[in-house]
Amino acid sequence: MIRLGLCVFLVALAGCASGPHIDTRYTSKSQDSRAQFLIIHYTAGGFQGSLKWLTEGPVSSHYLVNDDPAAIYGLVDDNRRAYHAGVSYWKGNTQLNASSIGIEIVNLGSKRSLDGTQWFDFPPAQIDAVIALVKKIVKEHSIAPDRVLAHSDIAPQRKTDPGPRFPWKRLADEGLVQWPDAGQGALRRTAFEAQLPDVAWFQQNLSKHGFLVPLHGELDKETRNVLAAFQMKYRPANFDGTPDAETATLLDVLNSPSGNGK
Amino acid sequence: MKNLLCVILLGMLTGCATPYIDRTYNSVGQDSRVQFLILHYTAVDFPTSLRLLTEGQVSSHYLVNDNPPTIYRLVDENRRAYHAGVSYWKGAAQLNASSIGIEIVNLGYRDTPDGRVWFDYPQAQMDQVIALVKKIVKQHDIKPERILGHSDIAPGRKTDPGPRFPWKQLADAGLMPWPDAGSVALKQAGYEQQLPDVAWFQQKLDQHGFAVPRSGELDKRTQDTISAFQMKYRNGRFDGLPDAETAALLDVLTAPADVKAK
Repeated sequence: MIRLGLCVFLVALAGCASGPHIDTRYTSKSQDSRAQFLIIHYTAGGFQGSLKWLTEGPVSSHYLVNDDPAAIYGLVDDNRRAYHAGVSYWKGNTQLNASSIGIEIVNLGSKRSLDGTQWFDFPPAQIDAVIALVKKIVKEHSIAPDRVLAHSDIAPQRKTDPGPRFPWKRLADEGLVQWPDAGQGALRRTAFEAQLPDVAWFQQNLSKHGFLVPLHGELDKETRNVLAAFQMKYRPANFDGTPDAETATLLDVLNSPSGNGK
Repeated sequence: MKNLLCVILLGMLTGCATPYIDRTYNSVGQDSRVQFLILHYTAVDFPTSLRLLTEGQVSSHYLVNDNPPTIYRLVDENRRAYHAGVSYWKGAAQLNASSIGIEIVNLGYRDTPDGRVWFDYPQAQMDQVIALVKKIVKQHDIKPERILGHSDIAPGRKTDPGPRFPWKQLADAGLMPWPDAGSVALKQAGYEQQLPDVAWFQQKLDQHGFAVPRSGELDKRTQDTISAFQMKYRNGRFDGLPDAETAALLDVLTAPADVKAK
């Protein structure tokens, strides 16, 4: 009788519990993390303002890395979607919020003065924290080095962060991002200096690299913005968005199968 | 002395282990990475479906058998399964990372001397599918217009879950929008007087969410897309040809005020 009572009770429970019965005895081999990209940003503001904006505002990110002290804050669980990428594109993928993890780094970005635009440095301790964090995320979600990207990579018409002062090379030295092999560049550069490829070549190679870029062969504003985003990352000394031999070399090496080791 | 040792030990620990992450703050702006729910048929029997989806290159979060109508969970909802492939809906591409996939055991179709014959979905199986969809939609707050067929996000390449899938049952359960019959009849009368041109159909299909050419010509891809739309909302005929009823359905579905989500 007690047993029958318990049974009825259990059935009643199952009836009002939400959802159907789900058998979980089998598991698919083919599966991985929903996080496929890691996107790096600067906040363009101080810590307090950034924290308020990212926690209370319409935008957010999974992590916020302060500059002084160099502390890491987790604001959104890795399994959830944060709003940091906006309208975005990389290699056929769009709307990257759902498939990425965003790291916001406290940095003032740029300031216009009479001497032109001035960019702010990232303190080494802050970059150490960023690198440790990127390492952890990349490992946990198996994110490939060519998918650790700048906000300016995935939205070159709208965004410039994390800017030309962000030391991508340090991440490359840790094997965390794609980097052109210097040895492969020298010969190609001589050739490109003798004859600079046309705009269509640059557009096609920028597209192959991953950018959303026009393919019409004209050096318009959009194409210049994409070139500048590429230069900002791999040749930060000059990111004027103009095609040149060094940019052609970097692109060509990055796009060749053996040239993008570290 | 003990304290100093502790500090040194902690320092060594942080040097090799993951960085410390402060979880004091939480972003308001966050939601589920799951933005879409995609329905498929397996086109093969249960044992084959299970084997392919657990051991093969493809996978899905859920598999719903026909007899008995058991629901199997094969991939955790927080992880990415490989069910969508090259896909697009309303600006979002590559939907595996942002969707949950449900595979339904159904043989799809069989070509006979009398033409193509499609297989029905038993009601007991549909009851399970609907219960499962309800549960997922609630947990991830998926919008009704983002419950889609594989054929919606990859028309031409895919026809599943096919014309026999009873979408109307999902609409009746309040899970997705359905064009109001009265509004459709009214519009249809008008379109029978004058059928809109192909460019109009392409524009409406695009607005509805499909990746469709904007060529103004009734090419193969446009026909495939019209066919995918018809299969869902007018499954009596899905020849991919523009007609007044299809125009009326499209018009009503893309005009939010007329849509009655029952």
